[in-house]
Amino acid sequence: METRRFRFGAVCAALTTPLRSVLDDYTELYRHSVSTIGHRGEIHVQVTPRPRSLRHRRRFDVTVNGRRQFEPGRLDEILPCIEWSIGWEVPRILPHYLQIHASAMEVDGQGVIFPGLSGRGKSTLTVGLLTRGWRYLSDEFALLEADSLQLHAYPRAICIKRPAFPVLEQLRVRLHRDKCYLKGAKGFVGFVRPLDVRPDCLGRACRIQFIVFPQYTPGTATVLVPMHRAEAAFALHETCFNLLNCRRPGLEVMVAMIRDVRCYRLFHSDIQATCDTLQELVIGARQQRQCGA
Amino acid sequence: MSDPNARGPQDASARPVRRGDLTVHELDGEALIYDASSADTHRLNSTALFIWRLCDGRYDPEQIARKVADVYEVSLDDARRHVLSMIEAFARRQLVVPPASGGEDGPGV
Repeated sequence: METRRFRFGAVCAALTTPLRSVLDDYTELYRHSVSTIGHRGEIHVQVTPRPRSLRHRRRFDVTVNGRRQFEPGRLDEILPCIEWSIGWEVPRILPHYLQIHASAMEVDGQGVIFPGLSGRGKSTLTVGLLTRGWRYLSDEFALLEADSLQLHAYPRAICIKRPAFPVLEQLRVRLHRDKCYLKGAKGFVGFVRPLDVRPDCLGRACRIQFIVFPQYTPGTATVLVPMHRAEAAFALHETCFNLLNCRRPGLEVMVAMIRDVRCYRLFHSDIQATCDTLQELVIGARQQRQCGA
Repeated sequence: MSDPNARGPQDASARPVRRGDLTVHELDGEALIYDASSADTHRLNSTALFIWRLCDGRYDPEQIARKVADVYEVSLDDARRHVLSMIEAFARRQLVVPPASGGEDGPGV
């Protein structure tokens, strides 16, 4: 058994396994997040193979802080299980953050989040915007500090589903080790290391200025539709993982955050046109601020 | 046995009372209402919020409809229909209580 430690923003995790290939693959994916010291409250993930027999198929146990979470049967299922395991523990170890199902980016000190359920195009959009110079905060969920209302980095690898691989080619972005993994009902996925897209891509903590709810619809033109803030807050509360378990009342935090934020629905399909539209939105806002200053 | 519909929210003589234990967050003239007992969140648009504020036990649906007709410049018939269906929706979502059960004391949210 060997243990390696990682730090993803405010989240620390340790991975222990006798499976060398899994450990090396994960370490390579997060080579910039390797940590040499243990941290209080770190999430401990352990991956162990079960003894094989003629009667039983090959199985692995993925445990998180001692609790069995997954039982993948294939080696290429393990890495997504580790990612899920860590993600599910975050609300418990960070109760002072509101955890929103969204990708999060920073551009010129302005925070932009893209909330939505799986399949809305959040991750692909995130990669596209990285190629345009936007800075990366997180992919699967956005961490909003309840007291300061600051959006914080949780820089994990970006998980891309197989149907979106051609978009990566269009963006000239490669998957980690050009590998595919099996991620449950999502099917085959690959991971993009944000630092492979741009070495200076990590964003800083910032206030949210824009909330954009993406809706990927093949063949549709890119349209950005303004949303009423109450409508956005209602939609946002449905994407929040820990509304009831956050240290401050989650809805109160959300409403406080959204008062000064511009909210939109984004209907999109073509990645370049979508990135152009979002660039115009944030650059326009920056110019307005500069004119006002 | 009493008829449960005799003084339902659609009864023109009933004076609906909004629940006083709900958390209300107003945003640009609309509102999010959080019900801690069911962990449900409701969104009210500006008209619904206007009507809900008038559910303080002092006004019956007819009086509320008159105020809606005045403020939104619609016919009294339209306002009546809208107010009754809205109060019915509030009752279904348990945002108002029958007057005898006691709700919020004063007017306004």
